[in-house]
Amino acid sequence: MTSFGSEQIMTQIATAALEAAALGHHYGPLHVLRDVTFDVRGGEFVCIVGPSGVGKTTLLRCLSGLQRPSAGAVSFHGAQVAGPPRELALVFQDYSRSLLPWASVVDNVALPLRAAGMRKRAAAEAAKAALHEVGLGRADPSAYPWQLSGGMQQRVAIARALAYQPSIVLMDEPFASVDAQTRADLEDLVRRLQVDLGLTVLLVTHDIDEAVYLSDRIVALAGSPAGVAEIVEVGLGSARDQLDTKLLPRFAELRAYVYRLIRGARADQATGN
Amino acid sequence: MSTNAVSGPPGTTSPAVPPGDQQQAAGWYSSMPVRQAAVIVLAGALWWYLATVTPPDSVPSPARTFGELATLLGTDAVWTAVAQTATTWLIGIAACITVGVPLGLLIGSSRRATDSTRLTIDFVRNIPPVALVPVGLLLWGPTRNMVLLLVISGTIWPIVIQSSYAARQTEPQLRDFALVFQLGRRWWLTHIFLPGVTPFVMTGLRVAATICLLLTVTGELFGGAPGVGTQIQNAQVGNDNPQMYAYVVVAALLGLLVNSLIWAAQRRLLKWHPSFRRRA
Amino acid sequence: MMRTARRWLYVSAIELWLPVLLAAAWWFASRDSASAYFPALRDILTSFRLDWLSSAGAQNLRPSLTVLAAGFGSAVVVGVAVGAVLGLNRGFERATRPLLELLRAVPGVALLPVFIALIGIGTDMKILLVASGAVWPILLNTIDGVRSTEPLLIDMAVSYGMGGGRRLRSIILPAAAPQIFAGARTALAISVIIMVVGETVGAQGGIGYFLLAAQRSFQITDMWATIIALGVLGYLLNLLFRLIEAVVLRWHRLYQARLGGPRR
Repeated sequence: MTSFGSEQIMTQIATAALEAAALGHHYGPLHVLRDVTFDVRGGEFVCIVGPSGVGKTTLLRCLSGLQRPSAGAVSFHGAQVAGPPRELALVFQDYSRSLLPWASVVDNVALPLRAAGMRKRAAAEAAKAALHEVGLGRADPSAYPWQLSGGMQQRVAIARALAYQPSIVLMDEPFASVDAQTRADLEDLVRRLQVDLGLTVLLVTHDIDEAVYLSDRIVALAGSPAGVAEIVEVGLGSARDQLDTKLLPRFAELRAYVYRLIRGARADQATGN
Repeated sequence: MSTNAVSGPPGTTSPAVPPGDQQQAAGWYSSMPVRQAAVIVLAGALWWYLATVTPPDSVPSPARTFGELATLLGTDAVWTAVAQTATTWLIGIAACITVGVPLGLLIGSSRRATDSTRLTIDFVRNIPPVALVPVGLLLWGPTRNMVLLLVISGTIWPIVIQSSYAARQTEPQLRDFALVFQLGRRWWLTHIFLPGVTPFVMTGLRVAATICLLLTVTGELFGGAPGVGTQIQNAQVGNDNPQMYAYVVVAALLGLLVNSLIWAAQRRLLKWHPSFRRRA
Repeated sequence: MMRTARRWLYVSAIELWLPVLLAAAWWFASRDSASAYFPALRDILTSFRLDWLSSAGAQNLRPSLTVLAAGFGSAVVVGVAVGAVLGLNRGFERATRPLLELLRAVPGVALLPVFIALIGIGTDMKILLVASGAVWPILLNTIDGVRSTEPLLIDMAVSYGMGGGRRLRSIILPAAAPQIFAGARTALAISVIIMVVGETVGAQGGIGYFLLAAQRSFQITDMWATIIALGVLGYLLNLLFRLIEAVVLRWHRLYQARLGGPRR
């Protein structure tokens, strides 16, 4: 391999999978987002964290192409997008409202594949593989989603995103609707999937612990209108554990740091804007 | 109107009662089917009482009525009447579904369409269908077409209105899902929109089915078109009370049949719906 | 200020264009009508003015409105009372369910001859007939509404020492109110239909009586005018009902809007 080849590889890795450039949004006179700029590189796990009501939902809708931002642009692999791009999958917070109650678990997961033209049997196979990947290999695939527990339903939603084979997965506070134990299991699941499958994940959350535990980098939002307070490098290594990682001194430092970022900037903004 | 969820077998008490107590508490005489039968027997007794205290022959006793009904069932007249009423009902409801559901869904899908048609529908649906009996008589005389005019003018509105409401009820998160996962129009329609609107449309259908029968009988009673309604009217005019009551019972049985049909359709189409799930 | 005025203009425009267009179409299509069955809209409207927008019209309406008010009113009272009892008493409700299903299945209109035979053709009969048809949606919806009261609310009430009557008044009936109103709305439509039907017998007058009389004596413009009057009557009654509902159920409307409102 000549040095030229390595440069190519470096450039590929360096091209952002997703890039937000000076995103801003307002609903009429109410400005929600201001000058949000960050990027997500391939294979990274990035968390967007901020207090409730700061505008995370709006940001997510702009990033996923569901909404056109009033200012700025969103690009995927360098190309600016107008609507949701094909390589993006979204996992919603409320699984009970984003999974079809009239379809079985396997049909739910297979639906996007069939809509893309895959034959029924092949789609069902792919769906079952994805379900196995998220730990539902032994669950009854012909059950309805509402017959499963909350944690299992969210796994179905994650399986649906996986089967779709996206290059980037966006998650909107995916663990907010489940209890703490289930949340820990799901966090580990998502981490494992990201590492094993080399996914690029962008997860929005209000839970600082979760953000520090899961991510490689944290985008801390704060203020009103919300802007990027800081982008924090986590650097806790790729092997994470609910007990050991959270006992590390660096974990506590990061936690406190992010907390201050979010709260501190807010106090400043309260006087300023 | 009533959304009875599927409840457990009659006679079951709450799961919190330990089996032993359950054995003791429920004797055969307090089980649900027995209680239901007892209520009906009581109603029958009340009827019989009314038959005896009112002037003779103004209220025929249950025995007399059912005796008359049994006799009638042997004749052609009652079966012809039932067939006529049933056919009119079927044509009416089929026409209203075919036109009303798509129309309602279309109107509901567009804000502009909903706003534009609101006043018009509000006014026209309030015209009591009975008011059209004279018009129907003028146009067609005492025939099925006259009754259908009546039937359709009253039955179509609950269907249109409920379907329109249904179209607006689509879960916004499912809309986002369809966009992000590139579902496309066809899949959106068949796998998300239509299954989603079905519960609401069924509600409209339930109401419409009952109204359809009511208006069919009304048209026959007042317009004189052949059917169960006319038979009731004729019996009353001819002062044959037992026959009149017998035909009212026939009408009630038809009503029960319609209810069961709709109930069965609901169970089949909506087996995934919360109201049919095990009650938490 | 300007924005609100412009909004009102838009709302009126979009809601009115279709009715106005239809009315105009009717007017012009029937202008030179020689048909006996479909006279010119102009003539119909003249009859309407003479028959119904006059003191004679008010006279004609009085018996109808009396029957309607008394019949619908009794249906509400009986329906809510019995519905509440059955709703609170699960066992009793299940025991009576087959009988109620049977009674409900009788198309109300079929009972007219029965009622005539029993009570004659006076105003009492009509009121009873209206009530007997209108009570069902109210009854069934009240049962549903009472039964689906959030159990936590009842536990809360009991823990605060509220007695049965208080619980009924302050918790259960308000919680069931949206359902009850929905049932009452259907009952109102049924009441109007049965009222018109009832007036076709006897000679107490009323709008239904007038309708049939007009048809029988081949006064077609009066017949159409009465049909329009019935539509207007139904519309106004519905409007009145919706106004009352909007006031009584204000909390519910806002609550529903909140549930389906903007996310976070």
